[in-house]
Amino acid sequence: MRKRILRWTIGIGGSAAFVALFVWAGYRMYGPGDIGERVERFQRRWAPFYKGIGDGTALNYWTFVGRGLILTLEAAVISILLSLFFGTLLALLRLTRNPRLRFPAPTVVRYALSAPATTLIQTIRSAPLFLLILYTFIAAPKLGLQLTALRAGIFALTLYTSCVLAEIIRAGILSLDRGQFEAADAIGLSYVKKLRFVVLPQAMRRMVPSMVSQLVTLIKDTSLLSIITVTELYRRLYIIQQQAFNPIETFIVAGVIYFVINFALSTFARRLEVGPSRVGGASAAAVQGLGVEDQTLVVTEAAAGRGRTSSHSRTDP
Amino acid sequence: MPLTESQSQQVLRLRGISKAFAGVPALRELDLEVGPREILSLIGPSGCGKTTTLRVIAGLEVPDGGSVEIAGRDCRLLPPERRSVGFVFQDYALFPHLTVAENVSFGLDGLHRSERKKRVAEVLDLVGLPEMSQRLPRELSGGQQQRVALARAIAPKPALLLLDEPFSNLDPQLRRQVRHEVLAIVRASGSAAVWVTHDHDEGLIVADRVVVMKEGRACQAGTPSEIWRSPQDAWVAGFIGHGDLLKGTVSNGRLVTSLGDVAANGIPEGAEATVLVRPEDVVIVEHGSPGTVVRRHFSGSDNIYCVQIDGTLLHCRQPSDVEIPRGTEIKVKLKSDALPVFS
Repeated sequence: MRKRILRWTIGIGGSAAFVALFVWAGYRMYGPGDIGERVERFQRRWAPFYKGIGDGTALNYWTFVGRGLILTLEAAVISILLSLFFGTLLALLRLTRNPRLRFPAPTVVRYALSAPATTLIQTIRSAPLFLLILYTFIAAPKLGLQLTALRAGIFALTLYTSCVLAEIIRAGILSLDRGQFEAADAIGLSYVKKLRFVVLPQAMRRMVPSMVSQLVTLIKDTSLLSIITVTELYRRLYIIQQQAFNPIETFIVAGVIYFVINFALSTFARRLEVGPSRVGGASAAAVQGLGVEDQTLVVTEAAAGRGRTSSHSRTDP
Repeated sequence: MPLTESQSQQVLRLRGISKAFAGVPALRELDLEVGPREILSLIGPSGCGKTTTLRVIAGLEVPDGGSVEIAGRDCRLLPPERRSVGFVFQDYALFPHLTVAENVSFGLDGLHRSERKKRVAEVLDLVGLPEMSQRLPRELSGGQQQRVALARAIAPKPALLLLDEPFSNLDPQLRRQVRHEVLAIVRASGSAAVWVTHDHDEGLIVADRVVVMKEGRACQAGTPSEIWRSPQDAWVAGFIGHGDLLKGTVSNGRLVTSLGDVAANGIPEGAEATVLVRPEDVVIVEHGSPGTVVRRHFSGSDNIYCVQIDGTLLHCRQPSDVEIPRGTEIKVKLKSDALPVFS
């Protein structure tokens, strides 16, 4: 009982303190002057979001921003899809020298495939994404490639994220029991089938959390494309706040938009994780970083045999 | 060189297999043969190379030297998936994300869809799990998982089945029960099998032929009763267990020990030698060597009495209803004259 009172006190007190801080910050932000002046300033600075700017005859505020959002999503979705593909490819290339995967080629070939992949992954991962974006944009024309700013940006984002994902995927694959690879070999699966049906399905499920966090980072990093003139979400908001004279409010709105996108992605990913419930054992749950409640959920679903019905990912070879 | 009859019939021939890990030899010039439908058990203490042998046969390890021939094909450099072997792993290594049926059907790559379905049903029937086909591995008990692993291994009808300590993850009681089932399934599958175990009892029970391994070599091969009745040396006798080694000296063609004498089997006069005495070889008599009962192991069906005679300890098997209190003075002698003798 006392514990509960304490908990409530801390909860309400904490929230109250937070709200107070917020109100204080707002009060300072819309100063100086008396309260009436401050409220008036508050209204003026938030007005562009529902009234538009200027006399309202110019391009509609949200149409302008919405086009940026579409560009951002375009860059993000294309980069995500390409990175997933190239990340997996790079990871597999890097792993060709690993004896566990038994890549069917002579040792020389395996090293010849794995060494460049390793070098690429290590180099790109250690470069700042900012530099990669700038460099691609500047260097591509010199190589005779006529890339639009958006394409140059997508290229840089994909390159970087592929290399980071490659390491995540490699770690995921190597986290599987050695017995899984050997069992696949022993029952006669070819290299491709072993990856397709045994290794990747298990590894991918274990990797979902780290992958999602990398993809969330990618979405946020699309804002870096603004430096090479891509008029994506951040760039447009930046332009518009210069006319509306409300940078703080604009960037709060920007934050909220990025949050909504990423929250949607995380929520979707969480459903992916828990849904199939075909993950191997408790260790997998640990790799997934599921909370205790989530783990219980997985277990009870499995016990009830419900997990499978939701997935329907029957993989008939 | 034309193949002789016996060569062409063997399912497995290992010749002079060597394998070292980081310079430490695991197998030294190992030879091994398995005939059709034969169940061979490889027994030996841990670290003797029996699991390595199995992995070399399966192609999971590449030997440093020697030849591997499976069903008449030279397999030394073939990858595991092309060797026609089935492998039952110690920890089963079932695919956790696939159902039982999927686990089994993956090995049936070459078959047509309908045939594959039929074979899966057939094999699951054979291992007694027909109604479990849509379950996931972790929804099964340990014994059931074991049988799925077995089903997966035998489904493609491999020439040779390899079992690596198949029961080490089961508790002893379950182990005894599952052993008979597994043995029956292996026999019914028609494949030859190599069965690795460190449990010498299990090795003797399941096998047509036993190979005892020590330090990377096969040190004795024979039928279970040959191994049991005439171990090649004191080490094998000690490993097979359930016996005491009595020392003695040979005189007049007899090995004389503190418990009487036995046939010396050609060991030269005056030499020191050892005789293997199992508990059932020791009988309690009116006139014999005097000893004192120091311990009793009651195992339900038997009493094993530990008798001290001149400073040596000897075990003597008696029916469970024969109760002899500790400290009792008794007289014992050897039941038989023909016991295994080692120089």
